[in-house]
Amino acid sequence: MVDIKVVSQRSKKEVGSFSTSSSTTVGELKKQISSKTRLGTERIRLAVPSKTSKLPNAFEALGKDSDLVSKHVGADSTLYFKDLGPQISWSLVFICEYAGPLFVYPIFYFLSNLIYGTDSPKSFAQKVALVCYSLHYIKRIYETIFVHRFSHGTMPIFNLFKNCSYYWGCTAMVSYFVNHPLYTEAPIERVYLGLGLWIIGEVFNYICHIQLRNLRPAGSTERKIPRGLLFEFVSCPNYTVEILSWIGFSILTQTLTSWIFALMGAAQMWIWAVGKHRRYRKEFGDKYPKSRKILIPFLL
Amino acid sequence: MVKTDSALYLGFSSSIPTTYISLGSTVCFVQVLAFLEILHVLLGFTKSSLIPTMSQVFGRNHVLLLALAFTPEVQRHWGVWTMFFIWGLSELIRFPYYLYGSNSPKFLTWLRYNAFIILYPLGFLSENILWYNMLPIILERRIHFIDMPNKFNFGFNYYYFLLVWITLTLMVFPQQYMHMFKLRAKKMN
Repeated sequence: MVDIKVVSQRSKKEVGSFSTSSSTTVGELKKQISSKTRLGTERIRLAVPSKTSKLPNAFEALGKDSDLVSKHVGADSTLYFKDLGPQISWSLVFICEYAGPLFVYPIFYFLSNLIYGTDSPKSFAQKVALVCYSLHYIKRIYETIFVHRFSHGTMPIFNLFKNCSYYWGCTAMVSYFVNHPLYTEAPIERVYLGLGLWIIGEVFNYICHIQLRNLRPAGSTERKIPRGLLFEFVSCPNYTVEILSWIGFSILTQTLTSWIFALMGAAQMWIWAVGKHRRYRKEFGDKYPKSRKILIPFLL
Repeated sequence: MVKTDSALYLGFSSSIPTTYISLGSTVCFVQVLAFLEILHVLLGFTKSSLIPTMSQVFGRNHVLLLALAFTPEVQRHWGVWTMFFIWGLSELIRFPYYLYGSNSPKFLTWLRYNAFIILYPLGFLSENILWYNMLPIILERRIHFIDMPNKFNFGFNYYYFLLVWITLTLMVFPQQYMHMFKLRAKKMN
């Protein structure tokens, strides 16, 4: 039996001493801290001072809840505790993010008279855009519920407001102009070109998500190299074809705000993709295919 | 006509409505050069924060280059004189301070960390007095408006944008001001 001192990372006050054995897990220790502090276990982050960083206040979080505590601390060590604040599950955040656009986008389509003070018959492109936009977010909600597996259980509740502001705000920004009475439709060939790209993007995006899901059987935490179809060319083909989708939507609607939204999304996905590509290379080393690009096949 | 114009240049009180006529093009030119300050921060020439530098440069150049330059009537308002005067004063303090580096004389350091107490709110007030006068003209003349229909399916109402912009600057001002007092507290002790 070992008593581990737990100290608040910020205030340096002692939270308490907790009795552990050589077989106590991080998760079990969190439960003890939880009952003492009355904070949910998902709010508790435990860390040790970083050995690699030169910054005076750098910490390294402990690993998985299933890890043994003894792996991280010795007999006289101190653990540092941080309250992450109110938490919300990833899937709930995602569902809220994606449900909003399903309500916001049609407002501008159906309530034109109220919003613009006038109305005009909706063009073919405007009708197609409504269907495409709605199907996209319906697909995302479906995937959140039935396809994706989330490795982190929760995230700070502030993310809910931040993410919803982004998705709902961008939806309003796009929909306002696509459904405007003074909307100028693109030539019909371009509408069909955009629609075609959108369909290809959405279908392959779904396929990529299925491939990623099948990479990790339920309950398993083993990590594998993704294989097959577009994964042979890039590390994050789900992002590649998502960007393709929004390019298609922008061609179909020929709306500046849609292009802006596509550009912002692409920039964010590029950042995520670079990080993921780097982690793959670091984790799998020589086993990871050298010819595989980050986001754009053969180029980038 | 010539006599009338020359008469405007005589006497101190007459210089206020003609500040923009006299100095406008020079100040506009100098303010365009101010974009280099952002570059200097990015390249590490000056050890300033990027965001405050950007907000000052874009804030000033917005009111001057995008609005005042397009509203001749307001160019004669006394707010122009006070704005240019305060901008000039703050630069007269800031740049010598930068040039001296760590060898700054005490009075200059004192000015650097105390003059803002008066200059910053007065500058802010001047800019907003000008905004107040420019807004109806911008709306009436639809300056910088983009109207539909067009092939980009995009519209822009500069007037509404300015209402939001001005509201945001009003909200940010107190935080900015208090932040400067914090910097002052560090330096003056």
